[in-house]
Amino acid sequence: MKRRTFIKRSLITAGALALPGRPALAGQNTLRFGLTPVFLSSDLTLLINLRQYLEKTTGQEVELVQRRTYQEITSLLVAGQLDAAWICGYPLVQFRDSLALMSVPVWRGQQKYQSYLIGKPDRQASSINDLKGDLHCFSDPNSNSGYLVTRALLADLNTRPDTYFKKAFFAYGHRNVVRAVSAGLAQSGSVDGYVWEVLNNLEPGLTEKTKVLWKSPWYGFPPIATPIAAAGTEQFKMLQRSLLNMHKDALGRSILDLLQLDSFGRPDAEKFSAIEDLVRKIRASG
Amino acid sequence: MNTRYSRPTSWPISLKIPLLVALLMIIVSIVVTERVLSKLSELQDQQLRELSGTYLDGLSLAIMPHVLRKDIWEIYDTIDRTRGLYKTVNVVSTIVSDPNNVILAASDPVAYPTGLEMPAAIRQNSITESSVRIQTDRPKMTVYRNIQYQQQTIGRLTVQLDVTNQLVERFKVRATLIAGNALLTLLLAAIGYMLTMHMTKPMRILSEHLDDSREGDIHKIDRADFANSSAEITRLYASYNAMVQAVNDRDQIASRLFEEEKLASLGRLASAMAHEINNPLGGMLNTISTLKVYGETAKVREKSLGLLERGLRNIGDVVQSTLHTYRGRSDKRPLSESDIADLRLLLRPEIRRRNQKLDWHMNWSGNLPVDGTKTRQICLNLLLNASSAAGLGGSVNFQSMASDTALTIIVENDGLEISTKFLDLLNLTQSGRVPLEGDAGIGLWVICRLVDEMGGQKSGSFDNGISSIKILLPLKKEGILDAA
Repeated sequence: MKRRTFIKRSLITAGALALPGRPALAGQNTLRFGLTPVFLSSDLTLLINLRQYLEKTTGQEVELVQRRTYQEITSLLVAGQLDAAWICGYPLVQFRDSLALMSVPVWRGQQKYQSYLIGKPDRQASSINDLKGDLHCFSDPNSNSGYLVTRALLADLNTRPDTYFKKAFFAYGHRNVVRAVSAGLAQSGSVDGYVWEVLNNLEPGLTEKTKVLWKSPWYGFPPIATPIAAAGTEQFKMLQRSLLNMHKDALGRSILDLLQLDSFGRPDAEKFSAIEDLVRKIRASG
Repeated sequence: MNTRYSRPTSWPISLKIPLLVALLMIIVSIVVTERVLSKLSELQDQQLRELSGTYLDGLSLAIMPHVLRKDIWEIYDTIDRTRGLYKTVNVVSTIVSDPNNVILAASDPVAYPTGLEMPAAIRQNSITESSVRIQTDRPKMTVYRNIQYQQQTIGRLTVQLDVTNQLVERFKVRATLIAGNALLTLLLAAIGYMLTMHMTKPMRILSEHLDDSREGDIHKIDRADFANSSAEITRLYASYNAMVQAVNDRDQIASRLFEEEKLASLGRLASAMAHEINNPLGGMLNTISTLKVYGETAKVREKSLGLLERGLRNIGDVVQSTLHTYRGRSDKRPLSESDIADLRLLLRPEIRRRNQKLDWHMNWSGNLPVDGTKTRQICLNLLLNASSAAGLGGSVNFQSMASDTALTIIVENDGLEISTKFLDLLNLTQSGRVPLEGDAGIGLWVICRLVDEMGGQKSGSFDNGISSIKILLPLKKEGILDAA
């Protein structure tokens, strides 16, 4: 235990660079919290603060687990390898029987967000219809805003991305989508509206090289989910309480400020019905 | 430029050596600059090859799995992230293409859009990193590396490098070298000039003194110039001053000798005049004695008066000839038969007094186109000398033979052997200066001088107790002699 304490202090000092190395040291009492690029997961300060806050409020050692794709995190979560994860609404809908909602962030007073279609600032386009033949950048094949919404729009047009666009590729991160479009690597992109707005505040130099061409209807904000088996356990309740009270804590508020969120609220499964509709639509389109 | 210094070989050494130093420095600086720039170019090329190779190694390794999956974003992201890592390589753009030259991703996606074919110009102008060589007129170069996976080419990494910094560095080095070498050259040339001026100062002093001496102003090197001079230079100056002293002494001696020579010449002139005039006077006085005794006889009187007249004329001619000798001109007249015949009469008293035998032979008559006065003088001197040498009871033989081109005069005598100095004088091509020694004979010297002036030949010999002198005088055309 002394050795672990020593290593823990050393790693805390080393900061978030130590994060990828934590799983090897994780014990039975470690709370494993998965993260996806639904938010700006590249902000190391945010990750350090989040881990410190969760450890402080749960009394458990916390391991933040990051993977490149939504699918990897979702698979770990469904398999019970993670105690909780911040995932997208699309995987939640896909694995509704295996996952339970813990909390949903509140952004600008509501637990909803939009998907944006973006292009270069000089792009004269206002809908998916104007993007035919583009080199298009998606975020992640399991992202609602970064793929499903656009995929559904194309389903409405009885087409698919690989035929509608000249070429489509995944950047595995909403920020990457903005980078790809701003750099001209892609002519258009599907991106999380919340991430674009946060980037617009934090990195206006990046977003000013893009332009929001179209905004989707409102969908349920990417939630915090747990394996269905963990729902209602003490750890579940403790972690949920920690999240729901984040806005009441100084460290928690600093985290919310970095995320530009109001707070974490109680989940409402109905808010994800729109995503379910999209899933049904693309499944119907084949 | 002064014509005196129109040719480099005539430039003063004080100018030539600094110029030579400057020229050598310029050559050295050109060679050094060329070598440094050449080495710098090699180093820059090698450095750029290594850096671009390192960049291509790292990047191709990083993007290889993404190229294999044709993951556009990851390729771009990798390129974008590595852009700032290789600050020593100024990468303008990076392009990754598939084996069909279709662009997968580029650092500048706008210029090189994904999905389009790689521009042919870039493909054709791209080289491998082993061929990297900076060229002055090409601030940008394109280097490529095939991306290999399991011995298969799965793509190509093409990088455009900006070598402006290297070119600027090369330009700065070149400018610094040129400026530095130019300054160094000027400095060394100035030092060389000063050193040369210092080193050649003794030469200049000597040269100035020699120049002055050429204009007649021979003077010693001032003792003040000896100061701060090396032992070698001091010896040189001393030698020069000793030489000047010797020259001055010699000039003084020569001047004294000249005065003495002048007096001797006057004496010899007086002696010659006496010799040339006194001898005929003897014959003329004999003629007067004859006139006194046999003057009543008309034939004797007439002959004696003729003889006196020609003798006086001959004395007049001798005086004229002497004047001519000193004035440098001659009153030329042809040789007449009587000029030679009179000599026989003039010599008769000496022959008779010494009881000698005179053989006389002439094969011509009338006039001959040769200077009569000089010829008569030559013959008279030869005969008087021969008579003197033959002694009492001796014999003298005189021959005067004319051909179409020359007059040959031969005078022989027995008795005393003709001296070696006489023979040497006769056999010389030119008679040279007047003999200082009395025994050389002023008469013979006059003969030689006259023969030389007339363009004739002379020779002497002694054989079987007979001394023989032969004179060959060329006959000139009448017109030429008369007109002279």
